[in-house]
Amino acid sequence: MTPLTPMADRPLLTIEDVEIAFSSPDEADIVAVRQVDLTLTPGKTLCLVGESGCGKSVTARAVLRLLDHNATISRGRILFTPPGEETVDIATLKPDSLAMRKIRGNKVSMIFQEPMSSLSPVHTIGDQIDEMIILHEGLKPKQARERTVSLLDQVGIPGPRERADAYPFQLSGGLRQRAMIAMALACTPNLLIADEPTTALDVTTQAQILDLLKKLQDDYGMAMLFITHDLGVVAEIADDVAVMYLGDVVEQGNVFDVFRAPRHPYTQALLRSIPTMARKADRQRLSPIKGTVPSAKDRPEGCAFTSRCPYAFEPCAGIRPERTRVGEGHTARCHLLTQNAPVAEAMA
Amino acid sequence: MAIDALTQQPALLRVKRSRESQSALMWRRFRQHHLAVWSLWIVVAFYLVALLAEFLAPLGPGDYNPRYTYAAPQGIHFFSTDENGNWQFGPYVYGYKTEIDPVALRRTFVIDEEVKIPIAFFVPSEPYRLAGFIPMSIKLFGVTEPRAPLYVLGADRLGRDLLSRLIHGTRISLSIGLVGVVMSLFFGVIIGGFSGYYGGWFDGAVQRVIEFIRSLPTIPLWLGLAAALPRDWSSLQIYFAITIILSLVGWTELARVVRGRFLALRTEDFVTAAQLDGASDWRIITKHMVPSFMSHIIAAATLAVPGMILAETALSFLGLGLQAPIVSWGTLMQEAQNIRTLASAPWLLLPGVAVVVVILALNFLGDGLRDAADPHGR
Amino acid sequence: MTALLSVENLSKTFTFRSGWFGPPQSLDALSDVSLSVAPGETLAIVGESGCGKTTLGRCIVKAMPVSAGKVVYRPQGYAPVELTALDKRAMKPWRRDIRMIFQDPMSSLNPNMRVFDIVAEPLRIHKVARGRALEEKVVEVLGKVGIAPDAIGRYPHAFSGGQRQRIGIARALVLDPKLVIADEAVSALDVSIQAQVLNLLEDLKGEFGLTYIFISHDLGVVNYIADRVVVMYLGHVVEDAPTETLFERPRHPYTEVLLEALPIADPTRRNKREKAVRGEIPYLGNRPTGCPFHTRCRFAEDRCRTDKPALRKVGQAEVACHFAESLELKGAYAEAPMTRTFA
Repeated sequence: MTPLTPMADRPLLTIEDVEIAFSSPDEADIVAVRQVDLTLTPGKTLCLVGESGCGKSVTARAVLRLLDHNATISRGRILFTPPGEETVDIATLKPDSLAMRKIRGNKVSMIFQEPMSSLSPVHTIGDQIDEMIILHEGLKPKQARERTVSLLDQVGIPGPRERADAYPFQLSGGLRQRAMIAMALACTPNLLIADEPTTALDVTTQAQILDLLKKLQDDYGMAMLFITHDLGVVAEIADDVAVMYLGDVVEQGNVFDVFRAPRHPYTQALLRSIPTMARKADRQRLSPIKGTVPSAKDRPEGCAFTSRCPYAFEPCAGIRPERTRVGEGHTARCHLLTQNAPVAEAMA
Repeated sequence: MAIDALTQQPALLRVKRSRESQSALMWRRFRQHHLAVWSLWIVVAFYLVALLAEFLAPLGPGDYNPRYTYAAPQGIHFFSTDENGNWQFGPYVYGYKTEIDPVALRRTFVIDEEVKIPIAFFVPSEPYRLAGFIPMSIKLFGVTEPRAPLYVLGADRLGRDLLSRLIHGTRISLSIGLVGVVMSLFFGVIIGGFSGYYGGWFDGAVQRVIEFIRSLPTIPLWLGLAAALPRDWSSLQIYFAITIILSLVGWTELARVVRGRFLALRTEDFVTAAQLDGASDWRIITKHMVPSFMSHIIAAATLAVPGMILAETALSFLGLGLQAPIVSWGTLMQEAQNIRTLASAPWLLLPGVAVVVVILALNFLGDGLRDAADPHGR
Repeated sequence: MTALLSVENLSKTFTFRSGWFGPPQSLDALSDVSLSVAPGETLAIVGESGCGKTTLGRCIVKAMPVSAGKVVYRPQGYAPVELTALDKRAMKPWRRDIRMIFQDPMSSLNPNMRVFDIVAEPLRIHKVARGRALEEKVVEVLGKVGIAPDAIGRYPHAFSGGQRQRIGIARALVLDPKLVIADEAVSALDVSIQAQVLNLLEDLKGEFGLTYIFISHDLGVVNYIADRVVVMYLGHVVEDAPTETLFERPRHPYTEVLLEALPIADPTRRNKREKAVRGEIPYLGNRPTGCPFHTRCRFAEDRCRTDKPALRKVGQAEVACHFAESLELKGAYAEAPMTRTFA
């Protein structure tokens, strides 16, 4: 297994101006994701962070076209360029088309928060991984089992040969998550999408899984789209971070830049509202964001954060702010960054 | 200011929606289930028929006329042409004429289109008591000529009007379903509630008893019990005895539903919270638990009604349930047991159609209620 | 200072049968747990799943019976009460003093009751107030937690998670309690809402003169809110120390591992995990002999496999480790945390 050579200059996946709408029989359509632009490069991890209902999972599922039937990608492109292949626009493919099925599981894999929901309870984990390998790579069952055992070993499952014959319910939460990672890696994907993979785990297990994912990324050179609500986890694993609020990516950039000098009021407020690991003397009272997240129906036409933003002014509710470059690869969508508003000073 | 308007409006919207109680929410979900809503209307219509049987039925259930045995259905016609060929409105039925079947040498009634018998609404009748209470002497419709035949859906062996009998039978059959379910509910809620709330050995014992009862083949059980009823009981006594027999098995299903809900609710945090408030068991059960699963009970009870109706029909059909003077759908269908009568008077199967319609409607209604009560369940 | 509440050698064993005729099995969820909380203190109980922290909370409020040991409550101006010895009726008056906030704001409020009735319920049960006085009290407490009076007629489903948790807090506070047990009270909330509720809990503590037992798995939150921390592992207390002492210099290897695994929202502090924990939390049913942590401890020696260490005083902490004095363990405070520029 030779690590793929990372081609940092060529993006693997580019999400351009994607909008995802949900229709329901007796209400108006709800636009869950409004305007998302993301770029993923091989060997790098992009964290999509936001509170519940911000559309981060929906965005990730759109890449695999795993959305519910009432959801449509109503605008934008999802350009996927596997190494040495033509670029395809995933947004135009049919969810169950052959082309999409080839991408899914083969070039792009996904791991979920609850492994039990994606592992079959009636087959051993070994059989499930074997089947993936046989299906996608056409190996013989014996060879496939060898691969499986080495994969299970790689993800740190002790006694992999014996554990391959275990059913998912016989494993602990951490081992199950490892088994699912092994399954996701079975076909050496170019992109791994991880949807809150550590949220259901205890902290010590979470630390182990995060370390494992980092190590595997180094070995395989894959790109990773990591979805989480936990800023601690982001700081731990991300190269780049995109902060989502109510369907909009409000700020994105290098994780060091974004955490050191956040430019969007929401990112700032988010970072201010988590307790810092400080001594009592240095401890500051948390400054929470006022109010609650409105529903997508009640979102203003302009910046989604308007109703809770301490700096909101004239154009915020009505006009959607443009993406503004605030540093090397660091952008934010906020009117304060473009207009010479009087409140801008107050913010500094 | 723009911002103020923004934050105000959703808040207002929210207030309006949020005043809804759980039952209002349930009703809203139920209304989205169109089949269930239609079924609700059908069921309501049938129960109205049952309630107003004496008023709706043109004749009494036992009124017979040997001149018209096995008379074919007349149907109701609304438009007629007079001698000049003009259209005329006014409901009427055709009369009958007798023909002798040359092969079987049997008398048969054929519709005689020469004779038109007009139908009138709100015709005076013998005095009766509606639903046993309200004295009345008027019927919804009937014939004005004293001895004219009115057999909209045909007549049976003794020349009794099938429509009238069907309407009177609706009362017995539907009420047996309802009374039986109420009785099952009584036992089911008490036994299932104790079983689920206190658990332990009592729960274990109750579950085993329920399993035992449910493992008995029901038809022979009913047959045995029904056959054991004394012959000299009045029809009312028989009626109640049959409902009790039916609910003897029926309570088990409801007890299971109640127990399941109790078990699920017992671990809910809001029940623990009430315990930590120091609330008594009685308060926890009546204020916190029962309202939470009332809707489930209603749905389960609705789904149990068809079983009761079918059971009564089956027993009566076999001649072991309700007996002759009482008119129920089951006893009506007893008439259709004979293939020869069926061949010559197929309209006697109509009670079967009524059974199918009501059972389907009740099942759809119950499904709709269940889905509305527990949208995420199953 | 005398403790407001103390837990003395508490054990809780769950027994169950697998199937009808299976052999009885038992799980020791808590073994010999002792701790105490002083008036006005915020005591945090931390640990991973299966450590018994939730069971401990439920035993303290008598939501479940204990197997051994006792819980003693010392109300001001009264003789100490052994809560574990009381029957339901005798416990009732003390339920006014000891209240609980639940983790899941969805399931802890009765969906069929209006907010007003939910908060009024404890007042009605204890016949504290009625009529106008009851109404005023409910509105006052709801106001304190930030729920407007015009919302009291609504049902819980109309509120967001954070607002529901506020209602849960109001229900706990409406009886003017002395001790509040918060079981993962902010774990289910989004970060921005979590901060609101944490601040609220802090403010209310001062205003009502409360004592908190704060059960949580999140060490970041615990560092923020707690005065003292009890670390639990597999039903045992492994360390009990003032917050700053514990985070500065943990004495038990498990505490160190917990602190190290904690993700900190500061990318400059990443990749510092040298002593990654080994293995996973064992199943409660086959708890290791000796020190419960020895299977995963990097310092474990033969002695740890056979002798169970007792809690003993080491500096300001109480630690259950044979080598507590000699181990040099790493804390969680950074030497120089990243400075953020908010501009």
